[in-house]
Amino acid sequence: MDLFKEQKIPMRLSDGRSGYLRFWPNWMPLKEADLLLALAIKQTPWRHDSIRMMGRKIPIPRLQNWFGAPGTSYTYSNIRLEALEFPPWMERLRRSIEIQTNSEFNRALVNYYRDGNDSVDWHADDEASLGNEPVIASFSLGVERKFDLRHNLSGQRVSLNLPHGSLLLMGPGLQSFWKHRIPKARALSDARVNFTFRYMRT
Amino acid sequence: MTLKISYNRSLMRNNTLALQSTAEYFCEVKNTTDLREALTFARSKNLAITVLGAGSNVVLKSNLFGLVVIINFKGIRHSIDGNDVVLSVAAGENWSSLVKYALRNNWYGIENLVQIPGSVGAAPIQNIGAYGVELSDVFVSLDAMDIRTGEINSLSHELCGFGYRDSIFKRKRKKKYIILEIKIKLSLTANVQCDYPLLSEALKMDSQKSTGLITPHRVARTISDIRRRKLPDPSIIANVGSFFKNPVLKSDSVSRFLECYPLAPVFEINGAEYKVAAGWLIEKCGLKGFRSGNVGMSSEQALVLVNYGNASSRELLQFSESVRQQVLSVFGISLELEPTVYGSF
Repeated sequence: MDLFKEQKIPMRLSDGRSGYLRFWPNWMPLKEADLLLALAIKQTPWRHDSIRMMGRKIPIPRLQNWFGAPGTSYTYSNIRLEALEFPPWMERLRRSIEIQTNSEFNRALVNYYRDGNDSVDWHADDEASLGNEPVIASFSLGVERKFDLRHNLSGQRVSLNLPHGSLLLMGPGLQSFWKHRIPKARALSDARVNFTFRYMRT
Repeated sequence: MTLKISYNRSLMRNNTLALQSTAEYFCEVKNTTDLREALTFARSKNLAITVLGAGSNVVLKSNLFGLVVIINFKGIRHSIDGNDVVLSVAAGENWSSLVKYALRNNWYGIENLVQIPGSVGAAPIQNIGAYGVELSDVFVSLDAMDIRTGEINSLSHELCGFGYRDSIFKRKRKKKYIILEIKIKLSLTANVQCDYPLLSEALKMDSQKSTGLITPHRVARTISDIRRRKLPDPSIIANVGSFFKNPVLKSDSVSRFLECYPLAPVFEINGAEYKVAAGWLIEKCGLKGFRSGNVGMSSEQALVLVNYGNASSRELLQFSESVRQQVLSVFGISLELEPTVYGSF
């Protein structure tokens, strides 16, 4: 098997309709990925946000920030993130991923999973501002983590490992029919940085 | 006198259209001493001066009276300051070799300008550009000799008055200066420019083979492939690349034009000006691959005029004028020649 090739994974949506994941496990050469990981950790102004749950502020188990054109913000679970302007290195990443996937992206949520205790629970990237059936590109750097997907109706599970330098494209419809998460992996002490590129109309 | 000046010298090998043309006097200069000597010679005989570089963007008529000077200054110097690499490049260096030299050193910013024929000294004159980048994006300054006084002046970016394929050296400072050296600022950090539609399409095709960040090397390779595919090699078939400039339209005329021809390739230059692909206009007039005698428009790229054999400059210019007239009568758009015409019949 050619490790550098793209894998296309069909994903059931509703009856009679299927979507897909496109996966490049070794999208970025390792040396380049090492440099980018160091740069991303160092140069991103990381925020540790909290969400409000039953009247209590609970810090989320990861650091993050939000990038896009100046003055754009992003809201989910009542956290409001003002977007920072793409720095040149992230802009180049954005364009490279656009060209690879033949899609357009104008925003990126960047998450920093400091170690295996950091995680993200079941969710879909389906905020209204993303429009109908958004396409999401997820680029991973750092320690390999498990990525779970769960079908909303059937409960069917699909899991992938997202290695250092891998690129995953979640095709149209995936966010409406599937949720995804990065579960905790307490044995891991190394960090992972993940970029999810998306397109927003406003 | 160490400078060799020849008389009645053929210029056939000094122009990529391979036109038969004769210089009354001819010399090649390698440094400012040579050049001053040449200028003194011209002044003493009251000769007009024509400066040629690689001859890849000129149409030479049969006779060039006066002194033809080929600028053959060589040398590249560089200094690195933080992330910036400032290059001082002599006018006689080959532009495309400079781009490759910069890439080999991982100095970025001119990779989109790979494979543009011609000399470094000619680059600022028409502010060479391709695939979304132009010389003025990296240009710092240049040194030029004042033909009248022999003094060397440094001209800043602002003084060069760059526009779309244009500078003061084509307008009010035409024939005032001889460009000796240019200074450009490149970067150690790759910042690829790949929004130009033809380029991003080609990169998408390439991404089935190569993955990862788009590197300047990949951009250069992709552009080289496109150019090789589109433009005939002048060492095989004589040409000067694009023969007409892409005409520039103001926003009101461009909207009228697009109403009639919604599929025409139009590119925004700035908010107020747009360029229309001259090759498309020529092709729509049915002139792609059209040949008359020894001259024709290339069958691969409608914008390239080629000399199939021993075309004379008169024949060639008559042919190009008929192409121009045809485009004017169909689209009401007047094309301008991209190469400069020198001499007399």
